Amino acid sequence: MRRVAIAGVGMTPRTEEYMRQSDSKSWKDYVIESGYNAIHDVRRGLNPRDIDYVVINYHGEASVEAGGIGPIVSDILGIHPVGVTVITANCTGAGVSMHDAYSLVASGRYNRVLVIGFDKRWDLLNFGDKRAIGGDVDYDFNFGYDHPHLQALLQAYAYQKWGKKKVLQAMAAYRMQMVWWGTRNPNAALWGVKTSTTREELFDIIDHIGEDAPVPSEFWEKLPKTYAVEGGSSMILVPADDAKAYTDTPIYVDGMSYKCNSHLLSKQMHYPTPALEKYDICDFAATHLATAEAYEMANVKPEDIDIAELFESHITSLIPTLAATLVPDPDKVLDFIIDGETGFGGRLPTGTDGGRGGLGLTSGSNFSDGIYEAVVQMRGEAGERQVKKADVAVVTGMQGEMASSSVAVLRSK
Amino acid sequence: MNEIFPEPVYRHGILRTTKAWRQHKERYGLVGSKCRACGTLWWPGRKVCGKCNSQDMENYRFSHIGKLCVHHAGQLAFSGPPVEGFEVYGGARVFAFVELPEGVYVGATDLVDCPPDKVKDGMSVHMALRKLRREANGNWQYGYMWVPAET
Repeated sequence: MRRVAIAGVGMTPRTEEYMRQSDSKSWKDYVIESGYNAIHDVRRGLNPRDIDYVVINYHGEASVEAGGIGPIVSDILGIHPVGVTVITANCTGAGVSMHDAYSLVASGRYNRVLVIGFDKRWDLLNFGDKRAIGGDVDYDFNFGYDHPHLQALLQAYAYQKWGKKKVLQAMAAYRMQMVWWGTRNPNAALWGVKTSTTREELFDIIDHIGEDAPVPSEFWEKLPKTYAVEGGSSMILVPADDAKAYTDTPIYVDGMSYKCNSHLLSKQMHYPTPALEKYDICDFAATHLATAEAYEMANVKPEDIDIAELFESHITSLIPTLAATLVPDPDKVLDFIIDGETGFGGRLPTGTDGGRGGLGLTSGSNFSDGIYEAVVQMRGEAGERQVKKADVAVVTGMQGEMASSSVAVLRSK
Repeated sequence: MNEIFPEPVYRHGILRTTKAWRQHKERYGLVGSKCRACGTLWWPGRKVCGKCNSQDMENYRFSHIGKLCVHHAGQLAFSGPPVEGFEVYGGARVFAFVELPEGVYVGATDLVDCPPDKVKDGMSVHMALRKLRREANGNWQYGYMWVPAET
């Protein structure tokens, strides 16, 4: 197996100004823009014709007008007859794409593989149906449940497990951090957004909530919002031995893993096999298993990890993905968040682009968005939000309702 | 609108009735699977045992009673257009995970015939067959819901 490096990254902005153009942009525009951004990011130049394979992904069925989009992608990028593998794995699709692309380069099969994740969210009139295919279609979808329902159940279970106030405090603390990061990222949906809410205000509301009382609407109104947007992001993988021919600052992919459990949450409550039976729906088994495998592959320990780009748009996904990094004490993950350890200057800066919620939730590109930000931070090019030390990064994605998880460990040296 | 250009109906796909019918035993009777080799019970049912990989599976009818494990009532913190056919429920749904005596969980699943403020985690419930929705193909789709076992 050859060591693999990232030679270039690209993305389409998720800002309000850019999203105003979404009616005039098709999924093909996002594929072309993000793909060519990555090509142009290869500092010593890369001829598009030298790309020898593409792995691409999007949210899933019904998202675009043609399911078998490989030949279209090869055509619109102007790289015919290069082959294209098409993957659909909801929000961690780009992690699965990267996993496959990594194998293609590591094995020696190809030398320059382009990975693209994208989402064209608003072309579908009944967006609820599209969102619901991120769950178990035979049960969740047929019974009328989509993400907001299932996330509400997950959150109710989190209240049982960790206490309502603690969960809400962690959520409020993280959202305020999200605002800090996102308003300093010119690509983020939060760019230019003003918020008057303070952490103290949110904590004051939480202090007055009884454990059995509903969360007051005032809390949800004041809580900084996450943004559902569309666009694409991409990366170019090359053999590490050749990386300096493309760029002075290659970022090395030393760990890459992808694991599945189940779409259906009730199965995650009880799946009687040794690998899964100790986990419940708040643990997110797949992310623990994938993170452990990626760490082992990269030969890193939790104390080596400097930054994290996790799938943290919901508190119910932040807690397990952060726990899986093993950086916080497993019993103190919520305290770690509340104490600001995931913020600027904290032990593990997390979601430094604004996170999935603040950069903008873009189903097919969530994972490649995380890779983009990790690369920018590891190159030292993040400007005002640049963290002090970013030598080792972990990037984590999740699919649907915790159904699967992809994890990458990156090194700058 | 005329005969050539009828009123458009925005649907991204219409499924045949047989798609839903294939699962009628599961949805009407809570029929899952039991592995004849290792005895493990599975909900929903399956053709290969996830524990021992045996393909020697039989139908297993799960208990129609259970215990509410965790639930949500009230408005969702985030909402959008509902899944097609479920508009009729509005924001009034109470939904939950139900733990069956066999140790498996069913959910997400609706709790009905109970005011939201009377719903308590840990309460006993039993299965009821109800209309789920009108499918885009025009047919009614039925499935399990849960009602309080003690009133």
